[in-house]
Amino acid sequence: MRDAILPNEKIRRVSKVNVSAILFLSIPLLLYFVFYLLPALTSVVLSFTKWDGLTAPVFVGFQNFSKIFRDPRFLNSVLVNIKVVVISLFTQLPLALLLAYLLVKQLKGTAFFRAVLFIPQMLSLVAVGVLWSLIYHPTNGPLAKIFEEMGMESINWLGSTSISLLSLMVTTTWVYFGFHMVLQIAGMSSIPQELYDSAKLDTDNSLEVFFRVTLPLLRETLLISTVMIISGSFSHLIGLFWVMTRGGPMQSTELISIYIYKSAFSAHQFGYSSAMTVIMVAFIAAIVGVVVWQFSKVRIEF
Amino acid sequence: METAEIQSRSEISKDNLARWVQFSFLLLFSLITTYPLFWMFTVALKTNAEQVRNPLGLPRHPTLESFTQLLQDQSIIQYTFNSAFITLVSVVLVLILGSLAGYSLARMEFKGRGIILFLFLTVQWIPLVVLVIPLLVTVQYLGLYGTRISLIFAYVSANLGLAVFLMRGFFRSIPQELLDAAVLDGCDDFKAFLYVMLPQVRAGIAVVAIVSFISIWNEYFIALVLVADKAQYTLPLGISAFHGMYGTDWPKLGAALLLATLPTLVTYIFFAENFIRSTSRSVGFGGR
Amino acid sequence: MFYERNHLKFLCLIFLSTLLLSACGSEQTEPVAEVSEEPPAEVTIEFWDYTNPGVYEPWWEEFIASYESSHPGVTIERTGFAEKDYDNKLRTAMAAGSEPDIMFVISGSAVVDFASSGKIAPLDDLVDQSIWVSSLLGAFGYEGEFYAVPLGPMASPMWYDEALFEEHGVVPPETWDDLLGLCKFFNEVDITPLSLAGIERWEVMMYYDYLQHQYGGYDLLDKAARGEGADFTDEAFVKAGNRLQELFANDCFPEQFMGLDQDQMTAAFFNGEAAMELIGPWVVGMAKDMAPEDFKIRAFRFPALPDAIAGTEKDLEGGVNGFAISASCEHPDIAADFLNAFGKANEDFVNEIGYLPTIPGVTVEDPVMAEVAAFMSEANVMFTWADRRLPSAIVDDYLNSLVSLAAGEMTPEEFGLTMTDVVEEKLE
Repeated sequence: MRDAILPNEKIRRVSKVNVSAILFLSIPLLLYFVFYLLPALTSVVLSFTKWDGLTAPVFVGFQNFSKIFRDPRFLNSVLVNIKVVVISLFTQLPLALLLAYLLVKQLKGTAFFRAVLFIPQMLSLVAVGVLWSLIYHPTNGPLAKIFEEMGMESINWLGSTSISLLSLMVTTTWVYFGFHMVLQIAGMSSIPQELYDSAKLDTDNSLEVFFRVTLPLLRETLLISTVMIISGSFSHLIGLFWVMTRGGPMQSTELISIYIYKSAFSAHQFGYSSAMTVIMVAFIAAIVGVVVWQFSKVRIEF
Repeated sequence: METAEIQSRSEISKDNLARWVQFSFLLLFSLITTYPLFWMFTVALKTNAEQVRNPLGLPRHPTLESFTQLLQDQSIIQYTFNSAFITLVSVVLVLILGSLAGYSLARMEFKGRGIILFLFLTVQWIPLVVLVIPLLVTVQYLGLYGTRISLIFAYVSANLGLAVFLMRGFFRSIPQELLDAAVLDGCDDFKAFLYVMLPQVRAGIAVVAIVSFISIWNEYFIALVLVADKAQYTLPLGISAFHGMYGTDWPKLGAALLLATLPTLVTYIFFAENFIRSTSRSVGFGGR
Repeated sequence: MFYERNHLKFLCLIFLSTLLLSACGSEQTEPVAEVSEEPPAEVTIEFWDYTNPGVYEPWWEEFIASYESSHPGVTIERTGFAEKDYDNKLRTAMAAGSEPDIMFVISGSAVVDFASSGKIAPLDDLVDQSIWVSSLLGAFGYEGEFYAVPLGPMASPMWYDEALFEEHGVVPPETWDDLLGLCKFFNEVDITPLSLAGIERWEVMMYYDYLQHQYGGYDLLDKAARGEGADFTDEAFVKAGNRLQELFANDCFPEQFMGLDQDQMTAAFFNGEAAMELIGPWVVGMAKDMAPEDFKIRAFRFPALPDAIAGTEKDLEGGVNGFAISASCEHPDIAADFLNAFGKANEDFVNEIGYLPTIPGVTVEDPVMAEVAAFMSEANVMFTWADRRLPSAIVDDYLNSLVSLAAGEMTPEEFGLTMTDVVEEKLE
């Protein structure tokens, strides 16, 4: 699909477009600037200070940044986050695609399934956290009871440093797969039927159709999902992880965002936490930049 | 529309088996995802002591008391209205502003497009909790502390980044021919946007509406910081009082969480059903 | 034209109308500064507190209503916040300059920080000191003045399941050896001796608090935290660490405590899965609502270590909850008067809500709480929990290190070294 503008149109459009663009963008940008960018900029400025929220901020230059790179706890949190991103990409995307595909092909009860599979997204984190903490309860939870029945030793799902992250990832996948499924369904719904019909002339194998027709045309929505999974692992999972383990046991589930939060609201070191935020955002930008670049290289041919 | 084909018997039963497996798979997942609602319902039917004793079990003497208490609680009703108002206004604004910005970034050429896209894209990865203090300072400076507007603006801005990113993606996947045809018909930019492009991204609108609704409806931290008095509380704030270190009212919490999920469910069904075409239907090039 | 004015106007109209709609619908809560521009008789005091389940909220509503009716022109706007995020709300408000007039505080480093940065006002000359027990006022002291009045001391003795104990014919332990023997007994009958959780980490800390107090005395922790005159490698900390690990070695705690949270810890105690628990006095109120009908809770003192410093065995741990007045309050005299009134109403408060008394001469009706009050009067000192007491910059590291210690990942000596480094690094 071409999304470049035809050459002969370019000349005609350039002067037009600028004004329209301003109109279209002015109000969103204004709001965004005042209520998001400005606080974000303040955050960046704060990263060069030492501030406890009570006394006046003290300018410290790059001290926070140099401390961060020598902070083993920060490095640990980066590692945890990378693990989370990788696991998320490999569980949520395939699962979402599979379910989306099944749902689109499904004839009976699609509306029901679509609504029901999305439910985890609608629940508040308190509900999710409490429920899954009960499920993971090392002695009284259903998993523990099953293990007991089978005569196996019970596992400390949330309390063991080796398993805790995996347990949280299961919960995370459970919460978020519905969203990406809906996104991919939305993407699939905009693929014209003609393409499928013409593909059917070439091959009967539905798997082949999927990989050669559907998947490439889902480029935009797949990109969105990928970017959201990556960025979400950094900024959104803080809610779920905090409720369930607070970053423990012994920092095995401590995301960068959790360390940032603790640094800000427990240790009251707003300068240091702001600096970590800056680094984290830069990190995300780099990863997403690479991802977007790779995706844009995908050529779509008819 | 399937071309009429004569299938052999084995093909039919293979088809049936495949369908059966498919269906069971979906059903299994549905059970996993609906269980929490069922569980919250059982919690709401128990007494607090019973819930503590048997957190995952069924109530022995089910009672609707938690629901009646909740529905008669004037403050909870107030909080629900606050949440509803704030969420609805915010979502509408996010849709309008997100579509406008997303469209311009997708299909218009102008200087600084890259930077603006970058701003919308990257800055929204900052977790809101970090921005909370500067946000509060800004709100106070504008004299908006304690107003619903401050919350609305904060939420819209927080969701705008993602909305713009999503809408841009959906706008980009519209074939250029559509826009050319519209221009040939004499549409200016705004008309083209409103009457031709927007309808094509109904799926995108649905996704943005659903996502922003959920994130705003359930949002806790920003509301905590920006809300000045109890009359302004949103529902998540009100519900959080049920779960504390000094004691938890589990049945009430379960009932409240369950009821809080309903508007989200309704919103989702409305948008998903009306905006996303899930079965293959003809779209075609150059369609109006 | 490239765009039509109509559409632009239409857009602006939508935007502005939603703006107006929300603005009209909003109730503006004015900061106190604006209200004082009105005739001086009209005063609004903004008051932030914890919210507690049960009768706590109705009690306040009634109290405030009666205060307002006897003080015409004064409006007390109280908002109760869920305790888990109150600190964040308050800190954020303080950082942005929108803190309330009266605010809930817990004794410890937070009060010291607020006082030293001039955010809260010294109350010596504002409130009527004679109302309250002076040691409780002392809990909010900074440089010779006190900065808050007490709402309730959160004395945290140990608690046991009296019905369970009677059933098994045992009594609560008085010495350390008693405790270990009792733990052995309960393990044999398949009951967890001491309920514990690991997710919030303060559960483990509470045990260590008593241990290091018995070995180190009252001010060792403060000195070590400031790096003045002592540090965490002091022998007392090492001995305390060894005792903590001794409890784990004797299976006193649930094996999988790391995966449990405070709700589950207390649930185990209420359900008879665990025989004892170390937690604050709010557990008594919780038990009334959340424990089975036949559950009988009772307090006992933390067992005495054989080699403890003399006199420390009767001490209790616990912070003091209180109310401070903001330095930017426009009418501190009225706020102080309100707090005086609250202090005088303490006996009613204690018996209605189940808190411990803050003024002398109160008869505590609830027998369990009365016993705790008796413990308090026999104690030389009530020391605040470490996570409130230590400077906030090192609390997280302290708790993490304690958990590592508890899990056996760290020796008491390593704990000392780690914490000493932390103090050096973070509190320059």
